[in-house]
Amino acid sequence: MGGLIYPEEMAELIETGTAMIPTRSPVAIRLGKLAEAGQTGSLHLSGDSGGVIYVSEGDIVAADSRRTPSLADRIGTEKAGSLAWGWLATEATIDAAMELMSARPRHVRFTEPGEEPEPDLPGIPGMPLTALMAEVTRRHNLLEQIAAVLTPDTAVARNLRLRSRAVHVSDGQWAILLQLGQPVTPRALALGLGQSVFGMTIEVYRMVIMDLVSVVDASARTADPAGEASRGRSTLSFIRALA
Amino acid sequence: MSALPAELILDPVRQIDGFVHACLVDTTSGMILSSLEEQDDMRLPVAAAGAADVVSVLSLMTGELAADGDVEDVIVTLESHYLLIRLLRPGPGQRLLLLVTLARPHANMAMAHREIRDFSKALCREHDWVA
Repeated sequence: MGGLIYPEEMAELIETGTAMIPTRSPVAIRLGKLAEAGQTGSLHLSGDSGGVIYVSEGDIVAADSRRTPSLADRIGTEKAGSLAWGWLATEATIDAAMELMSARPRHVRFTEPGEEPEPDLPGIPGMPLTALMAEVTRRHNLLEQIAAVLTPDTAVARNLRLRSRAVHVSDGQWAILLQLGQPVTPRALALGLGQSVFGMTIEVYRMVIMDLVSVVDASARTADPAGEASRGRSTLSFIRALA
Repeated sequence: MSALPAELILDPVRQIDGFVHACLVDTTSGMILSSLEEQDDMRLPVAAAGAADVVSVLSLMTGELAADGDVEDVIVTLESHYLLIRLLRPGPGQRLLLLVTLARPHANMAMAHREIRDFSKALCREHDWVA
């Protein structure tokens, strides 16, 4: 089986800073080779930030990372095959795959079916690698937009004094506020609440903009010394993330 | 709860006069969960991302205004199209948006608004979501 695995623009992306550009990581390259060969099995990544990516005939069917909530935690009691179940399974897979692709190179081992215990993944539809890469790239672009304010590993705390006399918060934001007795990172919140690390980071960013929470991690302020981004001058745009 | 494939869930919306396309989008991540297109002359990902941006900004506005309640729906009138956005809540802390694009010359805005509201309520009932 031949063909293009990555769009041209992805191939031009380069490694920067301490985080790997997900689509150029060794894991992504290895997945590209597995997709090209139409392989079925599991890609095991060792280390504290490791995990497993499950592949079926080259498509990605699931992923589990030690730094994101597990697939089982995300799906919970949702009925297999329902829209919510498919949504949560897909979200968990992309969240974990993005994390695994963003980490530094580590030992990577591919096992074929039967070599290792496999998770129960009844009917999760496979995702073509190109679709996964497109979504991971879009999410990476979104996280870059807000990186001056916070990352998944930036500690935040609840503001004790509000800028306004009153605000309206969603039930999801209220659940987050209840967890913010002590400084905590979006990743820790996501792991605690069984939600997407990416989604939690975006939601916490919105709460920073609303002045409900503040960044307490001093290292995050270096790129934004005047705090302009956190006061709303930097905006999150889903449209800009498509570019 | 139904086990209908995601693509079929939006099928009833196709019956609305002037239908061009529809999609369900996770408002937190901006990810398209399901989509349906009658013609491909509009870029669906751009429309979905734009709708997610609109909902995000309006949610910030209602939050700052301390308005008692969340955004229910949004209607955008273009010269050639109507864009209707309706918010759905599958569960605590989860929010989806339904975006329906209609060709203005063939659509009846009032009827379409009602039909999309009824479709959303039926979808929420069928899946045990918050209306």
